[in-house]
Amino acid sequence: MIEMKELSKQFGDIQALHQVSATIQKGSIFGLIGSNGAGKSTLLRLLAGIYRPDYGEIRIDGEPVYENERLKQRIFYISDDQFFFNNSNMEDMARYYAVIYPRFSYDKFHRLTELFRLDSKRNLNTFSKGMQKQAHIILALACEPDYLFCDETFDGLDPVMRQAVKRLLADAVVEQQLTPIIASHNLRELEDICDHIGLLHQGGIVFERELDGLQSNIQKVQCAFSTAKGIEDFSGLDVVTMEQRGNLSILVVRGEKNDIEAYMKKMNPLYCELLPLSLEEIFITEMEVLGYDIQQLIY
Amino acid sequence: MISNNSSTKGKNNSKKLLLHSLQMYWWLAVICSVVYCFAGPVYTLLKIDSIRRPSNINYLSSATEESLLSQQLERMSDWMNAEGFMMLYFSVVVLSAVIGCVMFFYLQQKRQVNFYHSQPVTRTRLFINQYVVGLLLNLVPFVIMLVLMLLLIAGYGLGTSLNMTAILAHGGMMLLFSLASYSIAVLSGQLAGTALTQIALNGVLHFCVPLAVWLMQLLCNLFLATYSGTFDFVQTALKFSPLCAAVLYIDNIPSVVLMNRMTMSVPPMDTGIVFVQLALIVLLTVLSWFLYQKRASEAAGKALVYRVSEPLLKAYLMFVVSIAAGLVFFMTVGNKLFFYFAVVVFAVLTHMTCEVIIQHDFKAMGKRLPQCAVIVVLILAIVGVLRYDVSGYDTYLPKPEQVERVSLVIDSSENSSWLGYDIDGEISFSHDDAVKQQVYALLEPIVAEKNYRASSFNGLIVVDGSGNYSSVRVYYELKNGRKAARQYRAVPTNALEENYRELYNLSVYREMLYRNVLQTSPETVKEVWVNDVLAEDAKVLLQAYQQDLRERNFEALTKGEIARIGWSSDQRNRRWQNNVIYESDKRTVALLTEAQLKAEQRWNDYDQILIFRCESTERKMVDEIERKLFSTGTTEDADTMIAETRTESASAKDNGAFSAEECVQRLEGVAQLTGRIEGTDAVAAFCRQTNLYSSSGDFAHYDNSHFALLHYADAYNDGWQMTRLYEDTLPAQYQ
Repeated sequence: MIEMKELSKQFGDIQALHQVSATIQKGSIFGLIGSNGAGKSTLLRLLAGIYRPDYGEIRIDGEPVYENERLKQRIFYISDDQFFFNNSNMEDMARYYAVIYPRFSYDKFHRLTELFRLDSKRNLNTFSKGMQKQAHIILALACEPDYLFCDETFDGLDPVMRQAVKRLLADAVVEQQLTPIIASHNLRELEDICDHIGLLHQGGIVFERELDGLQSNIQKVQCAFSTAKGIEDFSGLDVVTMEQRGNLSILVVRGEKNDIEAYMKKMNPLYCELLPLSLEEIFITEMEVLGYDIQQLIY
Repeated sequence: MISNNSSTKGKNNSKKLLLHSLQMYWWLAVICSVVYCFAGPVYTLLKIDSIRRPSNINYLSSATEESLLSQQLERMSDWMNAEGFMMLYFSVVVLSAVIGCVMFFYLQQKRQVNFYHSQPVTRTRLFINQYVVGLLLNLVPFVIMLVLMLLLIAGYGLGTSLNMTAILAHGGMMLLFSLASYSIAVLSGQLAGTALTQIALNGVLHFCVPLAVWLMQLLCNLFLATYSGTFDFVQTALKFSPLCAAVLYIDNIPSVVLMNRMTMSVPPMDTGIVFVQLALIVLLTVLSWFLYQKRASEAAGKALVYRVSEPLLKAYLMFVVSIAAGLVFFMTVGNKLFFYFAVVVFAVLTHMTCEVIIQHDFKAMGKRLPQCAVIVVLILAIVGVLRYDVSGYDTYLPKPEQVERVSLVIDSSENSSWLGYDIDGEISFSHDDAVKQQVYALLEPIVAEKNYRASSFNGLIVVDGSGNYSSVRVYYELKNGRKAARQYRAVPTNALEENYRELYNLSVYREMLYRNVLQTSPETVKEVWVNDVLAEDAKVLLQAYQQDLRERNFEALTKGEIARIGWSSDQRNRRWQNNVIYESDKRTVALLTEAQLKAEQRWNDYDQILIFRCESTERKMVDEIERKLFSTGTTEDADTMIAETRTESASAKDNGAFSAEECVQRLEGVAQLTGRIEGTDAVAAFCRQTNLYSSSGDFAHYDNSHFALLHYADAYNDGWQMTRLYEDTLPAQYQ
C-alpha cells in the first residue's frame, strides 16, 4: 500500500505539489491524470525516491521511500525521458539491473524480449522511441518489482504494443501482486486498464477514487423538452455542466443513475437518455469546473 | 542469520556494482594508461637512450667500461632526482582532476540523475562506488606504468641508480597529490549543477587559495611602505593547490645534498605539504559525501546547487578579477585613478558574467545590482584598509619590553647577502636587551617622521640630494608569540649612522649579524678563497677572520673593503663569497700579506689615474658630477657625460677614447687636476694605498672635495671611469 500524507514539493517559486494526500491499495492499477504541469511526474519521482518531499510523507508498505535501498529493490520507475548507458544494448542494461535488483529474472527478460521481437544485442541508441519504451518495460518487468511507476509510458507505443503491455501488466497484477501507477494523457488507454484514478491539477489532488465508482457517480443526460429549459429548471440535480442545443439539453450530472432517472421522469421530457461518461469526458468536465477548459485557453 | 545474509548480499552487490562500473568506464583506464605511458616509460626510454648513446664527453672522460657505467649511473640518478618523475607528477595530478569531474558528471544531467537516484542504491553507496572507481581507473594504470618505468631502467643495466626508499617516497607523494586533486574535483561536482560550472569551479577551487593570497601580497606590497614580504604566505598558500604543491615539491628536490651520486637520493619530506594534502583529502572528501547526501536531485541543470555558495563564489571571483585588473592597470599606466577605475569596472563586469552563467540568460546581467554594490564596497574597503594603513602596519614599532628576540640588518651596509642569517639560512636573532633597546632607538625617529620611501602606490623614491640611502630590515619575535617583519626602504643613511654606530659596536649585535660566519666550524672548512684566489691555510685564515669579526667596530664600515673571503665546507657544498675584509681586520690582513695573496688584482685593469679637486666643497657638487658620469655606470656614458661639459661633442668614432688633456679641458670650471699617475704598477700601488675603487657599504665616508678618473688599460674597453675617494686617504701631494 502506498500512503501519501500532505505531500508538498516546491521548485524555487513554483509549487509543484501542495498537500497531496492519497492512498493506493496494493494490487490496484492506478491511473494518474492531470493537466499539463499538474505535478504528475513530480509525484512519481517522489514515489520513486528521486526527490525528497519538502513537507509531508510517503510510505510504501509502512516504510519511507527516500534512501530506502531495501524498499526500492521492489520499486521500478520508468521515466518519460529514458536513459540508457552510452552505446549499451539490452543485455548490458539487463546485467546492470541484475546487480542492483536481486529478483531480476533473466528468463523473464529473454521471454519478453522474444515476445516483443526486440534484438537484445542491438545498440539501444539505434532503437526508435517506441522501441526504447518497450525495452524499458521489458527490463522493468524482468526486475519483478512490487510497484511500477510509469510516466507516460504508453505514449509512443503502437496500438498492438499497447495492448500487449496492458496484457502483461494485468497478468503481473494477478500473478505477483504488482501495483502499477501509470501517468498518462491517453485517457482512453487508462480507462481500459486502470481500476483507480487520481486527478491532479496545479499541484493539488482533485479526486482519487475507483474508476467504476467515478463513472457511476457522474452521468451524461441527454434530454429534450417542448420548451427550452434553463439550468434553474434542474435545481434538484447536482448539475456540473449544461449545454443547450435548441430544445436538446445535454447535462453532466453528479449522482446515482437511479436518482437522476427518477428526477427526469418527473420533468416529463420528450426524450431522455442517460449515458456513462468516458474518462476523457470526466476529465474535461472536471477541468471545466476548475476553470481549465478550452474557452479559457482561447479567449 | 537473515541480517548476516543480507549484509553479505549487500557486500556482494557492492562488489558487483563496482565491477560493473569499472567495465563501464574502461575507456578512462585506457586514456590514463596512454598518458602515464608517455609520462613514465616513454619519457624514461628517451633519457636512457640519451645517456647510453656514445658521445664525445663519455668517450673522452671514460677510459674503461666501469667508469663509463658509473658516469651513466650518475646521470641516471641525477635525472631521477630532478626530472625523472616530473611528467608523472604533473600528469597524475591533472588526470585526477579530470577523472574526478568525469565520475560525477552524471549529477549535471537530469535524465541521468533521475535514473541513478531511482535505483535501489543509497547515495552513500553510489558516492563511494563512483569515488572508488575513479581512483582505481586512475591509480592502477599509474602504478603499472611506474613499475614499467623502473623495470626499463633496471633492464638497461642502470638499476643500481634506483633507490627503493626514494621511489616509495616519490610514489607516496604522487599518490597524495593525486588524491588531493581528485578530492577537489569531486567537491566541484557536488557544488555545480552543469558541466560548464563544474569544470570552471574545479579550476577555481584548485587555485583559489594561492591566487587570493598572492593578490593580497601584491596589494600589501603596493600599499604598505614597510611591507617586507618576509613571511611569504604565497609559499604556504601554494600547498593548498595540489598542482602548485607538486611543482613546489619538485622544485625543492634538486637542492638536496647528494651523498652517493650513483644512486638516487631520498627526497626531503616536506611535512607542511604532506599535512595540507592529507587535510584536503579528508576534509573535502567528507564534505563532498555530506553535500551529496543533501543535494537535491532537481538541482541538475542549475549552475550552482547551493544558493549559499553563489554570493561567496561571486565575491571571490569579483575580488580576484578586480584586484588583478587594478594592479595591471596601475602597473601599465602608473595612475592611481586607473587602479580604482579598473577595480570597480572589472568587479561589476565579473558580477554580470556570473549572473549570466548562473541564470543561463544574458538578460540576467542587470540583476542583483544591490548585491554587486555591496561586494564592490567590500572590495574597496579592503583596498582602503591597506591604502590608508588603517591597521597601522607602517607605524608599528614594538617596544623593547614586548620583544622576545630581534634581528636588524641594513641591507647595503656591507654588500653581503648573508648578513643576519645563520648557517642554515634561517634568520639570526638576538635576545639581548641592549640590542633590543638600540634597535628601538634606531627605528623610533625613522618611523615617527616616516623617514623612508613611501609605498609604490603613493609616490616615488624620496630623494633630497643629500646622499646615500639605505634599506633596513627588521624581524621581531614577540613575547606573545607573534612575529613581525618590516623593511624601511630609502632611509637616508645620515639619519641612521649615529644610532647604527651604537648598535654595531655591541658585540652581541655582531654575533647576531655575522652568525653564519661565526657558526662555521674551521674543522669543516675544505677550501677558502680570497677574491677567487685559493688560500693555502684555510682553517687558520677562517679562524683569524672570525676573530676579526668579533672585534670589529663601526669605523671599519666607513672605509672601503680591501678583499672578499669565501669558503666551502662539509656543511655547505657551495662557496660563500660575499664576506668583506676591511683594513681594520688586522689578523686576516696580516695572513693575506704573509701569503702574498694577490687580492687586489682588479686594480690591474687601469693604467692611468687623474685626481681632481672640485671647485666647490659641497657634497652636492661631487654628487652632480657623479650622477652625470655614473647614470648607467659605463665608460661610454661617462664619456658622453663629460662631453656635455664642453662645447664640442665627442665623435662617435672616438668611442670615448680621448686623452687626459681633453679630460682636464672638459672639466674646466668644474674641477681642477691635482695629480696624475701613470703605469699599471703605480696605479695599483695608489689604489692599494687609498683603497680606491673598492666596494663599500652605505656608511662609507667619502672625500667630498676630490674624485678620480681611472683609465682602462684594456684596448677593447678604452675610456674613463670616475670613482670617489674615501675620506682621509688621499696623500697630501694630491690635495
